[in-house]
Amino acid sequence: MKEVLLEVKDLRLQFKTDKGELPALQGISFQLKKGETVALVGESGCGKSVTSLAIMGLLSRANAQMEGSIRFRDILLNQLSTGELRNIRGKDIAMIFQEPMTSLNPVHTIGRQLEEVYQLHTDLSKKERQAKAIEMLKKVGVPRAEDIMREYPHQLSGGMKQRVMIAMAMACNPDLLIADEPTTALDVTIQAQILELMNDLKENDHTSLLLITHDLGVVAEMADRVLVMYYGEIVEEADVVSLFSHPKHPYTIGLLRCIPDLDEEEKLRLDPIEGSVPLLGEVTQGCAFRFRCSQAEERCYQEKPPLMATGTGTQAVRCWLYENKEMAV
Amino acid sequence: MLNSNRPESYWGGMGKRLRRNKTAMAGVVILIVFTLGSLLAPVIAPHPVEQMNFNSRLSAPSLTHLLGTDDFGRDIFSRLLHGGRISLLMGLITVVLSTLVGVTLGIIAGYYRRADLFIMQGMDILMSLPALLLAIAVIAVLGPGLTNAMIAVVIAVIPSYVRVVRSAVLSIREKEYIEAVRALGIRDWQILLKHVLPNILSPIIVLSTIQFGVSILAAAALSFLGLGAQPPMPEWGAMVFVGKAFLSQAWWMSIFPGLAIMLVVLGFNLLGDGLRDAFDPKTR
Repeated sequence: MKEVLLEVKDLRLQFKTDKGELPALQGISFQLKKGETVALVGESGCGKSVTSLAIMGLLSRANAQMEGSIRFRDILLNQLSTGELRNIRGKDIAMIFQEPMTSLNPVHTIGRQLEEVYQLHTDLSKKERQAKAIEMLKKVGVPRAEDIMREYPHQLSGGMKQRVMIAMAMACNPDLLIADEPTTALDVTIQAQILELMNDLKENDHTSLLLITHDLGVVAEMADRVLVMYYGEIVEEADVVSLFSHPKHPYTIGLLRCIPDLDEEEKLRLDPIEGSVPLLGEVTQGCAFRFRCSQAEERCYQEKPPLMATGTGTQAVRCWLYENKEMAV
Repeated sequence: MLNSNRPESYWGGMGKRLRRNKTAMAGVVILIVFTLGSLLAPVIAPHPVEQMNFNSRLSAPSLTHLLGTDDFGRDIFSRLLHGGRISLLMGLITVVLSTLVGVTLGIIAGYYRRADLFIMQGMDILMSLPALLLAIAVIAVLGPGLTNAMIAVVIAVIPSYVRVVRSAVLSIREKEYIEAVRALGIRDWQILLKHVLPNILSPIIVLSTIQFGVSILAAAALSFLGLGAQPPMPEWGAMVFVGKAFLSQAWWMSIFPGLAIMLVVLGFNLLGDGLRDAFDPKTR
């Protein structure tokens, strides 16, 4: 058994608003082992990004009320002071954001922003920081690293910027890298390059990766295990092979149906899931997916299903369809 | 097009756009003339400032007295040159002080939600009073004089800084790169100083330029009302005031100091407008 690096237990999060408290996360639990890649999948608004921000401690404590525990190695992140959290951020846990185009400060050179990471977390001299920064840029495959150091973000392409962001995130060799839709804003060829780069870096540095995405193609490419989220809950948890070969939850099945199949002879229309994620606070009882589920029964309106083991490996699903039914595989 | 060998920096591009703007350059020329005139006043003034000559009282502009003389026979041109030092220096001090205070308050109000309400309500109170009236009220408390006039002007212009800076900070603080550096483990004050402040420099520079003119105008107005610089100090506002009594016999006593005020303020406004266009070429 590999060492557990990150353990989130029954994480609940409520946003305080004028209209009362909105439940953004309703008891999320998962583990991330050393060197493992776990993907967090789901539609917009299902709580993926909020989970990552909660782990980083980047949610305003005044507006977000948090319960449960987030353990990183043997540190309880949710009990740290802001100062202690700051020392972990960027050094032990780093994050890559969705929008490389806007994630770099337009008024500073690439070099200055990359050096800042070392300035925050190491005692290196200016010269050493510069050398480290150039080395890091080369490592993420940025050509003309020395020149790029003096350039401004607007002079780089989106793919280059994302490489720089990855360089910044990986600068201090973090144990955990959280990537929030790292390739969503990039075009397909660049996407493939960035994914490959992330995989390489991960292998070399034994970094664990929490990958947040709505792109199942990326999941298949990168992940070891997958957590499917819906309405602030994990509705299905499985290793990547099981998830793609026999998805269980109607939501997961629906998501997989939305992927176009290029080999298909007939031009079939895609089969989207009707409707959208309910607004926060809208569902007070029963299964949150029942409104969009073709197999919803009476019970789904009354009782909320727990996360149930399905008998196939570690796969678990939050759906009444699988109660007491060990699915034949 | 982008030339990757010689990238155009932010400031370089700004300077180029500014130089192409004719009205802004006219403002620059006006300001250079006035600044040089003030700096070199002791050298180029044709007559000593305080030298009275009762034989040539109230004499019209001529070759010996380019802009005429006042009721004590003092050379108006020389006094204007020296007065420029007072006005420009006052403008500079008030702008520096109000920028420091206003930007600090504005950044705090924009970044910290809790301080926001407190600071902005204070600013709303200040802004609900006409600036000049507010300045007069401050002087009523502190007493007339040049220093107090400056303090009064500073207090009167601070709210406009706070407002501009706060709204700029509000838009910057939600940017992804701020969240990205927070994820790197940076301290709040470092975010404000290194990442927020550089991004709001352009509105601050534009505002300061325009406020420079406004401050000079306000200081002159206070002096005209007898609340700022006191005669015989060759302050422009005070000179307009003294000349007012002789308007029918010696128009030049008021007109020329008035023109000087107008031109300097115009210079700052032209430059300020030009800077705004140069900093943000999209909003023309």
